[in-house]
Formats: sequence, structure tokens, C-alpha cells
Amino acid sequence: MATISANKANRLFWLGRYVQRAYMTLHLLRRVYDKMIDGEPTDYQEFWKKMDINDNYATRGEFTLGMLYDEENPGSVASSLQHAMDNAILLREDIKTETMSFIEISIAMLKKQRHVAESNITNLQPITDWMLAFRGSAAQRIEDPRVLALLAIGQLTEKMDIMLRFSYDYERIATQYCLLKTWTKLWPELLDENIDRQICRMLEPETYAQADDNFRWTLCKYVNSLVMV
Amino acid sequence: MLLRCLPREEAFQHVCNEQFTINEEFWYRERRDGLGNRIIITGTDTAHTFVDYACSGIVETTIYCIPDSAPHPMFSLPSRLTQPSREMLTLMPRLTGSFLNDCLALSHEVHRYLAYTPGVTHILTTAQEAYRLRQGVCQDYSHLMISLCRAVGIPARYVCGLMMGEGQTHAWVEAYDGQCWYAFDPTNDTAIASGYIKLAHGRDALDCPVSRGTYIGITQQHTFVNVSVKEI
Amino acid sequence: MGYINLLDLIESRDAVNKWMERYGVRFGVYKHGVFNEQLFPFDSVPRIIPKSDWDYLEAGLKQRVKALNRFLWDIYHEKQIVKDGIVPEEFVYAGKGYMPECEGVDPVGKVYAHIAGIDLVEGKDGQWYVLEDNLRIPSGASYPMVARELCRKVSPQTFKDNAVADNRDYSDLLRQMMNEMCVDGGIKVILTPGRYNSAFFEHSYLAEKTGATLAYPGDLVMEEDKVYYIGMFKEKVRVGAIYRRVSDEYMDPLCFEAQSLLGIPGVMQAYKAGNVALINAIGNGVADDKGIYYFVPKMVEYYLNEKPILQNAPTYLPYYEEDKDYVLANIEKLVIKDVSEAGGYGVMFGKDMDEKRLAEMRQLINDEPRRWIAQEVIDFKDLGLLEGGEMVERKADLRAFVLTGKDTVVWKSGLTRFSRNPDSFVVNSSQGGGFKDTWVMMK
Repeated sequence: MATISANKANRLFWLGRYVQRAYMTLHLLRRVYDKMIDGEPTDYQEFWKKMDINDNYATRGEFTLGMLYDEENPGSVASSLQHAMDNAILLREDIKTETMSFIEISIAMLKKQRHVAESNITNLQPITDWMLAFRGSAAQRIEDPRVLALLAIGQLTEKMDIMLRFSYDYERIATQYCLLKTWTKLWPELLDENIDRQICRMLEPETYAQADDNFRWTLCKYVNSLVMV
Repeated sequence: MLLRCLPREEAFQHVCNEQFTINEEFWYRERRDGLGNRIIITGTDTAHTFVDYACSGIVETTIYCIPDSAPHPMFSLPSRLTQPSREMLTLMPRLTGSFLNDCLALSHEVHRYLAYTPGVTHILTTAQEAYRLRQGVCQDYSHLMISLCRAVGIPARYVCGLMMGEGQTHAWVEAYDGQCWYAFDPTNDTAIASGYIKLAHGRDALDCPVSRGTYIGITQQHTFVNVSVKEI
Repeated sequence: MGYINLLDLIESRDAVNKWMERYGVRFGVYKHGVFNEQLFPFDSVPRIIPKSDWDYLEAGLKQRVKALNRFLWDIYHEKQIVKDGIVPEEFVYAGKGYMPECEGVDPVGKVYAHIAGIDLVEGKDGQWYVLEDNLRIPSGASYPMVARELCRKVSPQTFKDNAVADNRDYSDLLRQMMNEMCVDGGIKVILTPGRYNSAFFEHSYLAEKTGATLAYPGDLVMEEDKVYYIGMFKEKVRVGAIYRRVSDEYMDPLCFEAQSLLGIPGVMQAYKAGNVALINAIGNGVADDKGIYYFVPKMVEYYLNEKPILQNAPTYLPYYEEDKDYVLANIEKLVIKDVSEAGGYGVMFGKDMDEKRLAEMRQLINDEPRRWIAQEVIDFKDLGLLEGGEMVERKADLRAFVLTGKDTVVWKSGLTRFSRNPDSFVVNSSQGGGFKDTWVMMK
């Protein structure tokens, strides 16, 4: 099996994160739109606060287009996909051309939809499908389990990050953590031991404070510095 | 890192009691470059803030003359830093066909034309640039003389080495008379008989830098060189 | 060869281009200092080479590349061809491509040009001519490989009906050659200057298809005469062969360009010690110089004692008085090339110059005869291609790829590039233009 350089490990990890971010962003946007059907029209503001985005979109329409297509907005689907591509393009021989192509076609579709200012997120369903296909293709085609592991570690790290921001409950988060630990068994040295201990301590059913913003914020910070690539 | 700090083995100079030292975390190997110059290849993957290397020894010399039955054709052709220009060739003195006299005349012409001025030229300055500036240091004197020699069909090469006393490395010219290479120092307007230690030669200065290196990290870099040659 | 029906294939051009977009088949271009990736426009009408033509080309290309490899060995060793006066020394030892650092170096198997890209054109009279030998880092093989894969996908019937040699074996040829060159069972890597190199797609695609590791500057180190790939936990893995897509002068900052960040400091020492194969070898520029080109048919006779099979375009070297007189007298019908330029630059047509420019050119040739070559303009056979739904005729060349490991083999395909400008003879992809698949017929 080919050796993985530090740069390559870093790119695989971030590729996993960005693909997951694009997927999760679409997923959460669909949720917030659903909420707005019978909720307050300003409910969307909650969303970008949680995502830590500085841009203040004045209207719901601006918010929608901004979250989907604005490459300057680091939380947008466009920006996540572009970052995913920036990493994927340097990993062709590991993840394979066919796997990369799901990001290529997602970006192409997003560009087309931006052009017509498509705001009905349902019409972006193919991108969600392709993000899932990306993972399927990776699992099918990647020959090196370590490459797959690094992608999965990135994906799970991102998933935990976003779940904590959006106050998911204990079980959901603990499951992701458990999965992450399964993948890192290949390389225990990849994890920062101290941080790992902190997370273990905070991720106990009785200590996990789902409603405490500060608590989740601290945990989120730990999750983001757990993997050393 | 690549170092060209060891004297060449030549007919006129022999090195004994040679010692080379460098930071202990550096591995090193002695090799030859494509021109037969002795080089040291060295490196480390551990973090360091300086590299301290030293080479010392005794060099026995006789009269400066290097027999060569088949000089490499590259020494007869222009190189990157010695490409002649038409104006430059106006410097050409009247040549007599006597090798020694002609070389001395060329050396003298270069010496007369250039003013020794440190700091106006750099390691990549060409003979043409030095010609236009009318200034330079030993490297530029040598390049200009080499250009002229090659233009009149005398094979010539650049030499980097050491002179008697304290200070920096020096540069001079070797010219080929059909049997041997003889040395001329246009900076000092003289033919060289002895008292010079030759480190390396090449087409021009680009072929024989004393040190070349790369490192990973962001830092200010300073290089200090100290040369000391005494007669015993 | 019977009638070849290309209709189905031609109609699927858009489908192929769509797939190429999906696969990220791109080509980097710098315009005004800004890097841009573009699709390399593909035209679905293939260049078809009949078997008889191919047999001739294949034999000629093998012969030519064998002679060039012998020449490179000779130049860096005994220099017999110079001593015998076949090639003047100023064409060898004063050029930018000559590397004194390679004097006496013995590359694995004495191979210098492992991958040669020989540019040819077919004249209107059916005669093939070699235009250029590219022995440094020729690019372009990946494009016809991908194109064929996609054409077979969208128009399977076309390939069922025609006996076209499969060209997707390029990666196998490359892998086998790299295996043959590889030293001490080390790993094989493709060294790329990085994402912003115009041929980055090709570097990554060939790595994928050959199973070699794609290495970026900084991934490789030289230590004690050996090259290693550095893993994520600082572990060192021995490298046996480097298919490098970094040019000579940037390969080793200790020996060549001191400022280069693209190379491997000290790699020359490992190479000289025979501990790593460099594919292609360093110093090949001395043999693919536009001036040396003139002498290649003479090399074939000199080293192989055979009559050259392939022809050069009729070429004149102003270095020789007789040729200079001819060039000065006939300049308006010749093409003049600056020996020191590459990639379609420095190519000038006498017919495009006004009196003033012609006079300047004559003066330049008089001043520096060694710097120029002149060639008769070849009347290329035009190839048909689709433009806005219509068939038009355009100039096209062919880059054939010749691989040398233990043996010399010619890839049964090639990169056919065409010019989009109807008046242009320059088909270099760094100056716009597109490409076609190249079919070598088996019957």
C-alpha cells in the first residue's frame, strides 16, 4: 500500500469535511424552510448565527441565495463544494476520477442554478444525491482502507461540529463520536490524547448539557482540534 | 546543502591532513560534481538555527600548470555568463600568436578597463553587464577575460579558489595552450605561478558556487565566510 | 480499408465533451498572469491512420528514438559523434539543454528518453515529416486515452464496426517501463510541479491509471544518496523511479536553478549513484534542440548504420555558409525558427513579413547564424472537423509517443492537435486549438 504524505492526509480529511458540510447545509436549509412554513419569517436568522456566519442577510430571499450560491460566504453550499473540489483535484489517483466527478457535476449544476437564481431548494436535490453517491463511489472504488478512513474521519468530525452547533441530542452526537473512534483505531497517534480525554469526559449522558450554548461551544472547539492532520 | 570548499586534486597541488567538520546532526558525503570538482553533500532533517562547517588542511603546491590531453569542448564556447557582445570585442588587444603574451595582454586589457568596485555586481552578473558598468570584482574580471579568450579561440575556464592571506574566496582564469592549463589573475593583472589554492573550475561562476542550500522554515538568512591561507 | 461510418460518433460529440467536463479533463492556461483551467476542446472526427502508414511510422519512430538515446549517451560520455565531425560542438555544448552535471552519469539501462513525443505532420502528398523531437517532458497522452474511453462509451457500434487498436493501454506501457527502470524495488512516483501546472490533469490522471504515487514538491527528500517519500508520520519510503514532470533546471536547486522550490535538493547525487531512475533523464534538452533536429537523420546513419526511415522537413542551418546563402535568398518562402524558443513560440513565416521585417530577419541571421534554423513550409494535409455543425478543414499535427524501457515501443495512437484558426499552421495547445482522437487501424 502506498504511503500517505502529511499533505495528502490533510487533504483527505478536509475533503471529507467539505463534502459533509455541503450535504449537511442542504439538509439543514430544507429543515429551516420547512419550519418557516408555519413559523416566523425571521427564523432563518437563527440559522446563520449557529453557523457562525458574519454576513447578515436582510431578507429571506437574500438568505436563500446567499447560503446556496455566495462563494464569499464560507457557509454556503457553493463555497463548501469549491473547497471540496480544491482538495479532490489533488487526490484524483486515490479517490478515482469517477468519485471526483460527483463534485464536478454538483458544481456545474450549482453554477447553472445560480445563473437562473433558483431559490427552490427542492430543485437542488441532485446535489444531495451526488454527495451521497460520492461516498458510495469512494467506498466502492478506494482500494486503500486508510484513504477511506481519513475521508470518514473528516466527514464525522464535520458532522459532529454541525450537530453541536444545532443542539442535537446526546445519543446522536455520542454515536458519531463512537464511529469516529472506530475509524481512528488504525492510527491512535492521529488523535490528540488530552483533547480526546476532555471530549470523553464531556460526552457522558449526565454531563452533556444540550441546552448550554457555552458547553456545546467548548465541546465543538475540542472536536475541531481532536484530529491532528 | 552542497559545498565546494575542498581543494581539487591537481598536478600542481596536493592536499594532506585535510579535515572537515560540520554540525554533528548533519550527515555528509564527499562526491564529485559533473566537472570533477570535489563536493560535500550534507543535510539533516532535525531543526537547527545555524550550520557551521570548516575545512582545514595543508596544500602542497608546485608551479601552477595542469596538463590536459583533451580539454572539454564546452570551455571553448560561450556560456550563460560569458556570452560576448560586439562592443566587448573592441577591447581585444593586438595578439601576437604567442600564448603567454596574448593571455597576459588580454588580462592586462581587462584589468585596465574595469575598476575594482565591490557591491555593484552580483553572482549572476554577466560579462556583458560588467562590460557596460566598467566595474566589478574578481568574478567579473574573470568572466570578461574568459569571453575574450574564447572569442579568439583560446579555451578558458573559470576558477574559484583561495589566495594567500585572510578574507574571502577569489576567482581567476585558466587558459589552455594546447597541452596545459595555465592560470591568470586579471584582477591583479598577473600570471599565476604559485601561492593560489584551487577549489573548483567551470564554464563560469554558475558552475562553481562554494555553497548552495535549501531549508524549510521562515527566517532571515546570513552567511559568513572566513578564509585564512598561510605559507609554512 | 473499407468505408468507415463515423456519423454516430460525430453526432455524439456533445455527449463526449459533457463526459469530459464531468471527469474534469482540463488544460491550464495562464493569461495575463492569471491561471485558468479550460476544457481542451475535443473534435469527434478522428484522425485515421491506415495500417500500412502506421507500420512505416512505427518502424521509423523506433529507429529515430533509438538513435536519439544513443546520441545522448555519447554526448555525455565519449562524444564520438562530435569528434568525428558529424555534429559540430557548438550545437551541443553551448546550448541551454547541455548539462555538464550529467557528464559520465550512467542512467539505468542507458536510457535517457524514456518517453519521447515526436511531432509529425502529413503532407498533402501523403508523405510524413518529423517536425520536432520532444525528449524532455512531452505531454498530451492522457487526452486521447480519456477521449477513447468516452467515445467507446457513447458510440460502441463505431468501434464494433472498425478494427481500431485500443489506445487505453498507454498506462500499461508506462507502468511496465517504470517497473523496468525502477531501482531496488522502491516505489514509483510521478513528480508534478503542482496544481497550477498546465498539464496537472495529465499528471494526476496518469498517476491514477498507472498506480504510481503522485508526489508534490516537498513530498520527496534526498538523504545519503537515496530518495525517499515522506509519510504522514515522518516515515521514509524508498523511491526507485521518478517520472518527473518538472523541467531539468528546476529539478535540483543544489545543481541548477538555486531558487527552485519545485525540485528535490540533492536528487542529482542519488541519480548519479544509480539509486533512483529519473524518467526522463536530466540533460535531454541537448538532443531536442531545434538546431540538433537537423542532425537526427545523420545520427540514425551514424549510430545504427541504417538508412533513416522518417524524413525531416527540409531544413537549413545558416551555420553552414551554403545553407545561409539559400536562406537569405529564399527567406520569403521559408519558416524561420528561433532555436532557443519552445512551444510554438519563436516561429516566423517569411510570407507574413514585410520588406522591413525581412531585412531585419536577414540581419539577425547574419549576426547569429547559430540561433536560427529555416525550413520549407510543408503543405500539410488538412483534417476535417466540425465547427458550428459544419465540416471545415484545418491544419493538424500528430504527436506520437515512443516509450523506451528494456525495449522501445510506439503507442498505437497519439495526440492529434488542430488549429482553430483556418490560416494558422501553429497547432500548439498552449496557443489555443483542440484535439482529436488518433485511430491506428489494425487491418
